[in-house]
Amino acid sequence: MKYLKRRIFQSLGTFLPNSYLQGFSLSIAHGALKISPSLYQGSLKSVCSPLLNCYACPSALFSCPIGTLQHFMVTGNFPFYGAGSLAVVGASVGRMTCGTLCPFGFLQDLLYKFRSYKHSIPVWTRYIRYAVLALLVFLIPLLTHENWFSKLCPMGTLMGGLPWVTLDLNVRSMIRYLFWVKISILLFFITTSLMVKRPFCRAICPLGAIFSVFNKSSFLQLAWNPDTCTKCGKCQKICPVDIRPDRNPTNPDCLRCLDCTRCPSLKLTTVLHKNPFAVPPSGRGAEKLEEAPAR
Amino acid sequence: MKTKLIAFLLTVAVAGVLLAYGVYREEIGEVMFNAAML
Repeated sequence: MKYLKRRIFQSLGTFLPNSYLQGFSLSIAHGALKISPSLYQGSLKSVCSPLLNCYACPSALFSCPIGTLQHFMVTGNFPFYGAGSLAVVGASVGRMTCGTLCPFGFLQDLLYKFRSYKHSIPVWTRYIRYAVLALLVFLIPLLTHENWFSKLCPMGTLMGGLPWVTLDLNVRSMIRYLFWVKISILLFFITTSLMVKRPFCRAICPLGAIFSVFNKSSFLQLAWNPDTCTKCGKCQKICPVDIRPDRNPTNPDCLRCLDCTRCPSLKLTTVLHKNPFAVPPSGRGAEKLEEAPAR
Repeated sequence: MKTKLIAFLLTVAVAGVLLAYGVYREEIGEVMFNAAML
């Protein structure tokens, strides 16, 4: 049931921020149906969505938070509004939006379900995302006055680049080598997602790097009960980022997807709860975890 | 748990100050303009 709930939230997180369908306007030219892309220019674009969702997509309603941060760095200003918006979300739920709403995370989750050779990536790869945040989002845009992360972002290629190149002849005529670099990056992450659980979120995503800082101090917390935990490791099997929540419930890699809370030893709580496991858990959750398929 | 509560309150305070200062500097308009005029 929790899988299904998360899939419903992820579907909403994918379709609602991309529900400006007028961005793909239909017309008939010379007897042929033509789709002309355009961008939404209303007031919702002033809101930074807490998701990796490209604002160059014709159906996008909100701003990309990473694109916003970069824009201010390019102009030589600190992005107070963008950073503040993300910090408010991070302080409230930590990385939960990555696990329950992010469209690119959803895509990676779905790709991993395909039957293929499965592999894990080393823990140190998590530090790459902090380097990506520092270099590609802050430092290099400040020095070069170019949005370098957006230029290479696979989500930008998928949601922004491909629709524009497919539907707009003028944009298609502007294709240079960088477009093929972007396509290669997108294909790399699509292929890797078939074998590794959420490779982009774990190793590259700068938005995930920002939210992961808040996992320790957010209002919502994951609590672990050492008295009932049998250290069976099933929580790691069902975890979409392959971590052991029982070893560190405030792990910066944790997406707060709550898949592991089907085990009675793990529970979503808040900073206000002194003892979240005051009432002993029933055995019902443990039976559910037994039945859960390994992912 | 007390440490976590203090950390949370500090985080919220910093986040609120950042957001409020951004709104005060009228960055919202620039964010909207940037996103709508790509």
